[in-house]
Amino acid sequence: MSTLAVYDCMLFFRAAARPRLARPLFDFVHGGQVTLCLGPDVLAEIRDVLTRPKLVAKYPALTKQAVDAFLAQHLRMATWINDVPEHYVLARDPDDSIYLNLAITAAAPYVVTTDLDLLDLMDPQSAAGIDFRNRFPTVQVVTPLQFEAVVQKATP
Amino acid sequence: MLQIPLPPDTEEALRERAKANGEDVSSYAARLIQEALIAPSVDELLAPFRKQVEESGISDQGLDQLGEEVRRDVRQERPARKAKTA
Repeated sequence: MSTLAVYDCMLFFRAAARPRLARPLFDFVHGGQVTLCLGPDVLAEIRDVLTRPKLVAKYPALTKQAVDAFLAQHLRMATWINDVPEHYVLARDPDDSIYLNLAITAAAPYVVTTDLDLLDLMDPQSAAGIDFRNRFPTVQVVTPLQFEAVVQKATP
Repeated sequence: MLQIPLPPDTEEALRERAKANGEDVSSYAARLIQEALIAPSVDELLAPFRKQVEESGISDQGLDQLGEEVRRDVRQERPARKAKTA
């Protein structure tokens, strides 16, 4: 059975730029062990980062055609959630809320990220984390390494 | 002879597209497959970018920092979210 997950934009950036940094997260997706959840805000952030003029100026070989193909490849394998209501706003960095709201809406049990503002929601001492976990007990924010362990445990 | 089982919705869409293109369904499907095989893969399209990344000598940490910087720039240009303006 495939595990539903929301991947942070930075993981897509790693996968595009230096794939070994995103392994085995995207291998799980390609192998069907993980089903990505994508929605308009998250997709827009990934696209905006990968097409940012500052990045393209540094690496001109990052063409629009390559970015489009990269995004299309992941869209084909993803569960698309078109309407993502704002269930929760992360006070420390409201822009990160898009990942939480996508996971909540899609009933995805995992948000995979290296972002400390998001990961701190799992800190037992964090007041915001306690509130979040009480409201959304089925969503866990995990590091890539933690998620790797989850998927490997779930894989027969 | 290759036979490919398709979900009913996909087969219907394929037949409609073939008809709209004035082709029989087998020829149309064969052409789509040929085009897909000729088209460069995502890895092939990204290879020159990845080569530039390696040649730039940027470290793993530096690459993550660059990604974060770019994301900060992207977010700063977006309209402020409600919580930031409340």
